[in-house]
Amino acid sequence: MKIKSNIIKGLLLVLPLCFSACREVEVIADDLNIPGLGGTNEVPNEVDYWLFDNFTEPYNIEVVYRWDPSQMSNSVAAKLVPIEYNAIKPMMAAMRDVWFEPFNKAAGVDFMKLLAPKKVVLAGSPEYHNGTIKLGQAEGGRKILLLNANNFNAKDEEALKSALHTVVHEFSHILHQTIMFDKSYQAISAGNYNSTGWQEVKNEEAYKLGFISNYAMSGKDEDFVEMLSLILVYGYDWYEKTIMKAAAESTKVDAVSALQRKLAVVETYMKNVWGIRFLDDTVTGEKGLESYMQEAVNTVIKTPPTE
Amino acid sequence: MRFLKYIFAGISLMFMLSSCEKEVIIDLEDSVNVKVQQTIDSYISTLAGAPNGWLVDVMTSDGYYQFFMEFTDDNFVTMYTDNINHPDLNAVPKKSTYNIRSLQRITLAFDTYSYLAIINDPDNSISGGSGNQGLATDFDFEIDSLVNDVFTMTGRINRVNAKMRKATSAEKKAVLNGGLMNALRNVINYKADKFCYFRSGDIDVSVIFNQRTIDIAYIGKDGKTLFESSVDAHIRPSYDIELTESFDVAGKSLSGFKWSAAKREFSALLGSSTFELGASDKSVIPFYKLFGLDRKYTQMTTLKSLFDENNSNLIYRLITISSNMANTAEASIAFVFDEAGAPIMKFTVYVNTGVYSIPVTYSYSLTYNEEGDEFTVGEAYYNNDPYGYCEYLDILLTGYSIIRYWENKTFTVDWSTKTYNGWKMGTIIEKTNTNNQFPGVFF
Repeated sequence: MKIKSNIIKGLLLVLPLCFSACREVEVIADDLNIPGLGGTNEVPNEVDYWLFDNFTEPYNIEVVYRWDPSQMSNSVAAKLVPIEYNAIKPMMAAMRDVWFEPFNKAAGVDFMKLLAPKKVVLAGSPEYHNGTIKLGQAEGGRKILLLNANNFNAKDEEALKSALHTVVHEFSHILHQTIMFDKSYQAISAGNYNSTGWQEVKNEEAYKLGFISNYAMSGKDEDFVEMLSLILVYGYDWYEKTIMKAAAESTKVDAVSALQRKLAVVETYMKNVWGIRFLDDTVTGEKGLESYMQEAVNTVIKTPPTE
Repeated sequence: MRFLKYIFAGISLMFMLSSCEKEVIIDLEDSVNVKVQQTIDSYISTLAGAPNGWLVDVMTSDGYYQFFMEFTDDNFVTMYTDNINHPDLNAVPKKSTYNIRSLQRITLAFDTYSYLAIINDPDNSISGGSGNQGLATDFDFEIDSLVNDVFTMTGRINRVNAKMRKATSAEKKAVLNGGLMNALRNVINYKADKFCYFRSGDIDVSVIFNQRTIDIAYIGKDGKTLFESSVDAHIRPSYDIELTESFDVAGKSLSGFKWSAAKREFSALLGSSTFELGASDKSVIPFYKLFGLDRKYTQMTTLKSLFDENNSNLIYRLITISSNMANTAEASIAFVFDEAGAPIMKFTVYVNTGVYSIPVTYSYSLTYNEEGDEFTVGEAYYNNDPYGYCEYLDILLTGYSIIRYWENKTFTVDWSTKTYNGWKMGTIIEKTNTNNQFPGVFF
């Protein structure tokens, strides 16, 4: 009995050591490049070098132009086609001049380095949905998907502004997803948002309800970024002559007051949060971001950049 | 002392077990990664190394499209297309990028806009497709095999078949001179106002060249049984035609048609023999053998563009519809059985509301004779008209109504000598007034 007891004691003593000793160390060999995780190798071409010089090096932005369905977000269910190789530089050169440069002038060069999306994905066609088309999408402040790139023409004012509106709209989402705008904004048009039926409201009707577009009616975030992006892209003059003029004819709500209060929140937000003057200072003459963007748009329409 | 032995035994056991520690180095010598990269490199080398480029066949909802491609090892490809819907692209090279990627399977990806992207474009006016889905085809292809310089591939999304083989120097020369589209045009226009056939023994075989398919038919030795098929075809820059599947003619295999540049004629490749194609004013297969109730084709569709002359009561009424209803008037006739199993004729016109093209369908009782080469149409009725368009048409077209035109008349069917975009057409003819004809493309 005593022998048995000693054996048991001996085994109990060494058992934990046995388990701790029986281990397997897995080391991944240094030269092992796991397929699919290291990216696909392509021979760099002229466009690759140009994108590196204009976006990757100065802003740490990757511009994905080669078709990759996994980059298309929820667009993967719809049929899309890749961008034209020859359309990449004209589009991105124009975007650099009308999107990045005005922000650089109004906010300093570090602003876009800090906040620009780290990935811009280009696709050639728009995304079709039951008679409507989608032109772009932002994703978590990290990525902007730009669709319809094959139809981009910088000389066509409406086409240029449409593309610019897409990127500035999506970029504005990144701004408020980084630091939220004042909560008072959502109270201004409370009760008039229509997340499911905004498509059935014409723009002119939306103006008279205190919105800058019908899409702005789809929710407070969209309302905010539509105010910010449409005024930047189409200009304060357009805002005054089109939106405010229509709003003044409203008999339903005080649309003028609603739009004025929304613009005030936008201006304050841009100034206090990001240190950017949104509109020109009428007293000192200091230019605002809106002026820089309008000047850039007019320059690009007259002389589209090729490099 | 004995106790010490037990302690020693225990310690020995501990060392034994601890000795099982081992370091596993995952280097996958010649592993998946190495093999995949080697395969990718070899594929790119093969693609770029073809001195005369490649002929590429890609399946679509519109038949096989053909491309000529020249690859370089810096991920660029130059393409030519046979897309006859874009005639301005004939013999025009287009440069884009490609790569071979290690996805779930090794994939040949055409990753910027190319001639392949055109047939995938969700803009229907560019692709010629519908529902913003292009021609239900692909521009990324999994490589299934590479055997004897032939890549066999499958599209990643729509799983279409694609094949790529090395082109010859003669084929490259022909492509650069517009051979891809010219070959297609040659087929579409080949004796378009005649009916082609060839005779093998005592069998006459009808051959109808469409854009990318060939309709082949013959009547068996019993004089009744119809053997027919629509076969997808590859129309080569040499003008030769390869059938994607051979067609059996009384035990012999029809594999394609050989073009004679000297004679400017096709001959059929049947078994090991060639047979000259004849052409006659009448088809060796009567139209009613193919079109009608319970036959291969049951529907015929016409467009305003198919009848440019106003030479009959029927045409006049069709034009009346087009001028009142739509810019591109479209009408179709279909022979079907109703729910009770009785034969009926459906007549559909498309009313253009300015936003949508809405089909308005009338049904008619139908008496179809045994031979099937004539039918009598009864009274019109409609029971599914939620928007009241049928009533609207009746009122609008009073006196000219094509809806009422069909009632209580007997018709025959025959081939038409007209074609539409390379498709042979048929026609429905009023028996007592043969000037009244309804021409159309049949489905």
